[in-house]
Amino acid sequence: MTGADRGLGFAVVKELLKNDFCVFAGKFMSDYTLLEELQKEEPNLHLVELDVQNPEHMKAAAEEIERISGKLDLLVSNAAIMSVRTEKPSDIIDGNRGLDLPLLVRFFMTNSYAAPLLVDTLLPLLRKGEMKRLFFTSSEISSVRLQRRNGGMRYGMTKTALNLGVRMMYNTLRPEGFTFRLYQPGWMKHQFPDGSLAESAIVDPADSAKEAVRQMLEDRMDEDRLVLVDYLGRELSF
Amino acid sequence: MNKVYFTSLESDFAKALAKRFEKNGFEIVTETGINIEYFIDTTDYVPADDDRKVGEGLSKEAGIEAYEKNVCGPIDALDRCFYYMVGKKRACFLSSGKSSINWSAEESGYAHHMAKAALHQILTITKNALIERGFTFRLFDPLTGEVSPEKAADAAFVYFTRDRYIDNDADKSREDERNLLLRDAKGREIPW
Repeated sequence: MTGADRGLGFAVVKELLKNDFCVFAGKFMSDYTLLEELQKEEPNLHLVELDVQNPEHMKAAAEEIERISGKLDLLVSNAAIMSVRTEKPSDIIDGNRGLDLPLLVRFFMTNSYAAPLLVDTLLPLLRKGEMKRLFFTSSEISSVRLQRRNGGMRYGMTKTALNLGVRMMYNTLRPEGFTFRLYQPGWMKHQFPDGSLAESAIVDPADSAKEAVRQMLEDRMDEDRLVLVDYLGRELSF
Repeated sequence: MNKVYFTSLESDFAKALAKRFEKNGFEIVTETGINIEYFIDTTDYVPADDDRKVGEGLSKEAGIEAYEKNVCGPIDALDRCFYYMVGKKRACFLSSGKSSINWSAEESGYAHHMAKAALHQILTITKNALIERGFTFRLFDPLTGEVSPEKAADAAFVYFTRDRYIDNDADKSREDERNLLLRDAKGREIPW
């Protein structure tokens, strides 16, 4: 599980532990200690340092999983950047020379390209697993067809690229028996380091995590279709 | 005389397309300047290590390189040209059906195809923002390797220069510029 420090990721970790999984949770944010607190009462929770922009972290995580369980049944790719402070805050092409291009690269590498890189690294372990299921947190704003926004391209474009990366992995791995999930978690309340939730936004991460885990664990009738499904179980157009 | 800005004239397709614009009275430029009517990005960069399937050792460096060349460079160039654009204010970019989530059957080329998919969404959001300011957009797949550069340039010239209407060219009451399409050198609309 990548991006497990807070919010949806942390809530999914708790749900998977309730379902008797041994969970390897990727830890990235030093100011959040929710995972460490949970680990005190959950012997099946293992923390791995995992910055998804760092291939060495991915290799180290693979070695840790190999050492402890020897296989991986389910991969949950959830790590993403949504917003950061920048001196060039423009998030649209408007002629004002305000595009922070290195930041765009960072968003792409973290939110999009890290997913196939991680699967690439963990594939030997996933091939030994029984579930062979790959879950990716996407977004409704990944849909080109449904896109109505006139700003926020930095985040939106990354989820479109992610969906394409998942399509390409699907093309290779579906014939081997792998199954795929693309999930739109909803507009979730931000979780603070003390575990409390912001009042803004709509969805409680715990509620979205319950639906996410249901989709992770249940087989679908139509595994030969790659679909994007939201936190209410509705299929969304790409 | 209005100008056509090319991000690069290196490829055979770009050279052939530039010739068509020249024949039709446009000046071709590769530097920012006044009176640019068409912005044409001909970048289609594939990194050296981008030929692997998942599990064969994907390259992080290829991802960075592909994104910088295929996305950052072109959108930065458009940003520089922004205030010089006149007339149709049309921005045209190259992509591929292989970067379509609904269409692609590709198993390799992650860096290149994912960068182009990101570009699809960037252009959709940019189009939504700029349509009210008179900008129009085109995405084109030259079908490199399948269609000759000359024929692809013929198709691109027609696609780039014609205005789009919901009904037909005779009935111009309902323009279709709000609906961004990816069209290939055979005239087909490629699904996103």
